[in-house]
Amino acid sequence: MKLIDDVEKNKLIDFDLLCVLIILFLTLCVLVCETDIFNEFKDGKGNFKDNLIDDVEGLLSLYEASFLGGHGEDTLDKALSFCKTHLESAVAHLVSPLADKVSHALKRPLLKGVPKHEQWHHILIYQQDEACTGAVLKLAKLDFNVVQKCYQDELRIISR
Amino acid sequence: MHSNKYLLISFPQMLFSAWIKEVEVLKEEVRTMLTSATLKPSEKLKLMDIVLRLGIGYHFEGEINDIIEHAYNTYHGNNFDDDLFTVALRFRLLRQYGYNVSSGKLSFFLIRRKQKFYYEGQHTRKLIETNKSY
Repeated sequence: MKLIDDVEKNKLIDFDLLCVLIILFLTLCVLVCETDIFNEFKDGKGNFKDNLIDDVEGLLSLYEASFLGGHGEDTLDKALSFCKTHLESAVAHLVSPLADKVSHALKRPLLKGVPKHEQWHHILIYQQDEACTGAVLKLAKLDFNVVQKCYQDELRIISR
Repeated sequence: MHSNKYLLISFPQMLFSAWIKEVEVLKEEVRTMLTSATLKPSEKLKLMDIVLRLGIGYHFEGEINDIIEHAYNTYHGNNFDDDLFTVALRFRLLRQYGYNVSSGKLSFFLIRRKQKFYYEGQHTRKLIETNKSY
C-alpha cells in the first residue's frame, strides 16, 4: 500500500504499470482466498480425498464451482478433473432426477449456459426433486410463461 | 422469412392478468421463505441457488444480496461441520457475485462495495455500474 501511495505522490510509475501491480496483488489474493477452503477435503499429498466419490451432490457442486477459477488456481483445476472423472463414471448407475442433473451439468455447466435457455430444464429437474417446494415451482412456471408472453408481445410489435 | 403465425394467436387478456396476480402472491410467499429466520444459512444458500437456476432471482435482488452478504461476512469463520456441497456452493455463489478478491489482508482494495467483479451474463446492469465507478 505504501508503494502505491508513493507511486501516486511522485508519479514514478505510469498508470498502466500501476494497473498491472494491482492485478498482480488481486491475483495473489485470490490464490490465498481459494486454497484454504477446500483443504479439508484433500489428503496429505494435495489430492482430493477418495471418500468424496460417493457424495455425488457434493461432487456436482464442486464441479460447478471449479469453473469460477482463474489462471494458476491448481486446486480448482484439480477439482475439475477429479469431479469430471468421477461424475462421468457415476452417471450410469444414478437414478433420476440426479442422473439428469449430472448428465446435463457434464454437457453444459451452469456458468457456460444461457440462463434463460436453461431455465425450463431446471424447472423440469426441480419438479422431480423430493425437496421441491410448491410455491417456488409454481412461481417459476408462471413467471416463465408471463415473461414469454411479454417477449411475444414485443416481437409482434417490432415485426409489424 | 420466418412465419409469424404464432405471434398472431390471440391470448386472453383475462388469463394473463390472473397470472400476474398469482405471481405477486407467490412472490411474497417465496420472499418469506428467503428471509425466514428458521432456515440455516446453508439452507438459504441452497434455496437461493434454486431460485437463481429457475430464473426468478430478479424478483428477489434485495433478499439475495442479504444472503450473499451474510455468507461473505461469515466466510472466514470456521465452518468445519459444512459438507463439500455447502462449501463448494458458497464458494461458487460468492465468486459469481464478485466476492472473489476479498481476503482480509488485501481488503483495502475494495474501498467501495460496488468495486466487485461481476461475471458476464449474470448482472449486466451491475456490470455497467461497476464500470462507472472506476
